[in-house]
Amino acid sequence: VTDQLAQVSAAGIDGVVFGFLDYNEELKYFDSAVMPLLRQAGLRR
Amino acid sequence: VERGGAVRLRLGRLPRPAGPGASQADPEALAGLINAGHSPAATAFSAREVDFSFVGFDSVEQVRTVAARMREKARTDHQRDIGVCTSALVVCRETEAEARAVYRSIIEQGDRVAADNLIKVLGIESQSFNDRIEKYRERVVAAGAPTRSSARPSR
Repeated sequence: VTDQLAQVSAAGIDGVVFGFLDYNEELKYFDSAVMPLLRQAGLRR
Repeated sequence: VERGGAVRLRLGRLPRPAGPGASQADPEALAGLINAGHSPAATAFSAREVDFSFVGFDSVEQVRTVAARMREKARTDHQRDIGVCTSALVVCRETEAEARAVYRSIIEQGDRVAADNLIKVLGIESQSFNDRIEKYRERVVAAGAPTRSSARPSR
């Protein structure tokens, strides 16, 4: 997910609106598993 | 909803009218104007008015081209810099194979009749997706799929 978002960012996209299948479950998982990687990649502060 | 399929929203704190006791809202506190339409009229509106244009996502190469074109139009026609955003369905699981299996399951179990109905309305009434309706069908199925316990994140 982080790799793909990095490609989108490098293509000149300033922001992405996310959709999830089940926000209730998946947002928590995204926050714990993906957000740290996005910060590490410099895509989030 | 603007003529031509553009949809615009103003977000954030709006300045209150000046007057006795009225707070002076910082104009910088206002979030930007966005537009998610891509008919010719909507593209012209984006170039002229908005801070962020939302573009559809098919591939990295496609979005790179569309984003560059949108920025260039705003610069050329109106000497403005605008931002470009997109949207994505995120399916994250412990492994890529699991995530891809969930996505396949969403497509297989999706409501194709509902997706077709939405595509018809988009095609006829917005003209934003004429060149990508078929690809968009899959996306609509994914976005409208019912939640399945098998599709939840693994722990």
